[in-house]
Order: sequence, then structure tokens, then C-alpha cells
Amino acid sequence: MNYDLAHRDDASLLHVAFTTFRIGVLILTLAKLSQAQPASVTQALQKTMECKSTPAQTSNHETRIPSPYDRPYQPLPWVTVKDVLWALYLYPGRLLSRIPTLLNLSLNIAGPVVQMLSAPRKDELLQRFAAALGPEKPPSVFVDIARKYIANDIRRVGDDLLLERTNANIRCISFRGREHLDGALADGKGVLLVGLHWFAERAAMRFLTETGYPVMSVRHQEPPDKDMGRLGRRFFQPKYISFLHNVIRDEVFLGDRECALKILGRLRCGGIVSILLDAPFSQQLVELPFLGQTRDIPTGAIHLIRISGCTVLPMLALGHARALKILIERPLTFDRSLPNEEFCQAYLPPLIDILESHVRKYPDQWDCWTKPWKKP
Amino acid sequence: MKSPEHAEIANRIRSVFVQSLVLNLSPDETARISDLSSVAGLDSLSLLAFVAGLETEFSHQIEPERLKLAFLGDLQALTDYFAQRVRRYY
Repeated sequence: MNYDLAHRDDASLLHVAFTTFRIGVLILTLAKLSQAQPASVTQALQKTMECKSTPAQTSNHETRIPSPYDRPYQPLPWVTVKDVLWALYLYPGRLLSRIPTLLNLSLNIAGPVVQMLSAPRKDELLQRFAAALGPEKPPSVFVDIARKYIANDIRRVGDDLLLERTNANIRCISFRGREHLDGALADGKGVLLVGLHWFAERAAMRFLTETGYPVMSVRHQEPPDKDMGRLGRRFFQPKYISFLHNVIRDEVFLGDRECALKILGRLRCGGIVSILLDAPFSQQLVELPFLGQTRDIPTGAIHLIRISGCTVLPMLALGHARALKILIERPLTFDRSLPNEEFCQAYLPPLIDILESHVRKYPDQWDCWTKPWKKP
Repeated sequence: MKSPEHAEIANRIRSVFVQSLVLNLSPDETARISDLSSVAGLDSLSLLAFVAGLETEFSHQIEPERLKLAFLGDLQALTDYFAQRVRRYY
């Protein structure tokens, strides 16, 4: 058994190395093409790409949920810096993750460099922190939070590489509120873990699954990236989607027409589902105050809560895969006899208030500070 | 339809469907619906509303294994299913 696994690891290492080489050659070729192509050839290539992508889009029966990151159509460059970074992350990065010491070393080296390059991002963060957490606090507090935020972001990038592996070896140093989860499961009505996009979210879900609490995550299938070029969209995004599938594993996609039915089915079987309420990907959104501004909050979860009769537990995941902290709060109570709209009006704002208080307490752990706050 | 009872259940399902999706249809148009899954605007959340509407209408919770578009979009299958459940009560 062990021999088989080792043999398979060697084979996949070779495969990853070979693919890295091929992608490198492809990037160089396309970079040359995009610089030296006459306009007519570039247009012809562009048309070919568009024609090839059309059948895939039409054959997909899933509804595409409009993304707040969508921009008006404009021709994409062939290759962007982000594409090269994606290539590095998905190929040499994954090779590196086979040797955790080397991965840690690389992250430690990359940390100060990324901190230095993130100056514009930090300025944006400082403005958001001041608006959300209160301008009366001294700027040094926000500078410190911004530094920790960037560090946690880098750490999460490394965590994903570890979580992709079967043996992720997650170390949880604190798991508070386990009794709430056990109690809710004993009721047999299903458990909905509601939370936000914490940097340690994926590590927490994986840890729960590995410790006997299998969790189904709800997510957007195509992670949006405004800085992607055509190469990235064509090759690296599908690769990243399958990479994320290996990280998250038990998942249902928001674009899936049966998404809500799958969640309801899992809850009615007494299972656990995790929903993150700060992702504005839904057909139905309501505007609610959140951290001093207005944010689009999806209402699907609250309808599910009413219909399924499941137990709802607010959840918080802090730290990273090597020092994870999980906090599950007491179950929330609902009057499910209320009509749909009234139920939503009565219970969504308090739920968002609870989650907002988590962000105020642990601002450096919340991933969505730099994401758009409202759909355009 | 197999019987007047089936026809009545099918009409109730159509009516729940139209209400769930907030479709602006006349009774005649509603009566002509035969394939629920092909109706435009039937997304994930409206399916959920449809399930909730059906369960309230027939006072019966649909089993988890039947919560699929293939089943919920098939008017005949739904009619047979609820006809069986309704019959049990009488």
C-alpha cells in the first residue's frame, strides 16, 4: 500500500515537472506572439479562441451567476503578470509543496517581498479599516492589521498547496463549541455552518471532515480574477478550478441549478453544510449595512434555513493549517412559521450582525477586505 | 392523465409552480404547462421555493433522494408521487 502511494507520488511528480516545462514553453511562445504578431494574425487567433470557447459555454446547462467583479467586455492581453504567477503557483508551487520544509522556507522568503510589493494594496486596506473599524483609532493599529492581513494571505496560499494533498496534516490548536456541533447533529435536522471568507476557512472545513464531521462547502465555481489574460483564462483557470476541487473536495457550485436542492438534500439527511454569507454571488441579494458600508448579502441561505428546519451555527476559523483555531457558537433560534419575506427581514440582519462582530474582533483574518463592496 | 384525481393534483402542482416562480400566467396558460424544467427562470432558489410550496400544499415532506431537477421538473412523476401520498391519507 505504502509502496503504491510512493510510486504514484513519483509518477505525479514527473507529470507535474513535465507539464511545468510544457507550460513554460507555451508562455514564452505566446508572449512572443502577442508582441510580434501582425494585427490580422492576432485577430485570427482571437477568433479561433472565441469559437472554441463557445460550444463549452452553450453546452453547460448551469446558470452563470453575474459576478460583481465582471467588467465590460474589452479584449484581454494574451499574457499578464498574473498568468505567470498562476503558472508558477500551479506547477513549481505544487512541486514545492511535496517538501513542506522547502515550502515554508519559500513562504518565509516570499513574505517580506510580498509585503513590500503590497504597498498600494495596504493603502486601500488602511482606508477600508478606518471606515469600518472607526477612524478614532491610531493609524499604527491599522498598519499593523494590514501587515498581518498580507501575511495571512500569503499563509493561505501555502495552506492551499498543503490541503491539496491527501495527507494535509492539519494541526488544530483550539476547537471551541464542539458540543454545539455534536448537539445539533444529534437532533438529526442537519447543520448549517454560517460564516465568512476567513483565511483559515478551507483548512477548518478539511479538519472537520477529517475528524468525523463531513462538511459540504458552497462556492463559486469560477474564481473571478480581473487581472487574468487569455492564457490564464484558457489554461490556468480550469487548472485552478480542479486544484481547488482537490483542496475543498466536498462542494456544490452556486451556478448549479440544483445547488439549493443538493444543500437541502444534505441537510435533510442530517449532514453539515457550510455557507459563507459575504460572497455576493446569488440571484437574490439584499443590501445590508456591513462594517460601516452597504454590502450585497445573498438571501438563499436564509430561505434554506426556513425551509429545511436545520440547526444554524455561526462559525469562525482563525489561524492557518499548522495552527488552526475553530470557534462554533450556540445554535440560533428562529420562528419558521413567518412568511418568507418577513422571515428574511427578521433574521438576516441579526445574523449578519453576529458575523460582523467576528470581523471587528479579528480584522486581519477576514479575506474580503479588498473585494468590491457593492455590485456595479 | 390517469384519473380525475390525477388531473386535480396536476393542476395543484402547476398552480404551486406558477406561484413559486411568480409567473404572470393566465389560468389557461397555466393549464398548458407540461414540462416544468423547461420554464425559463427556473433557477436554484425558485426550485427551493417550489419544493417549499409543494410541501405546504400537500402537507408532505419530499424525501432527500427525490430532491432532483429530473424529478421536480417532471409533472407526470410529481403527480404520481403526490397521488400516492394523498391516497394514503384517505
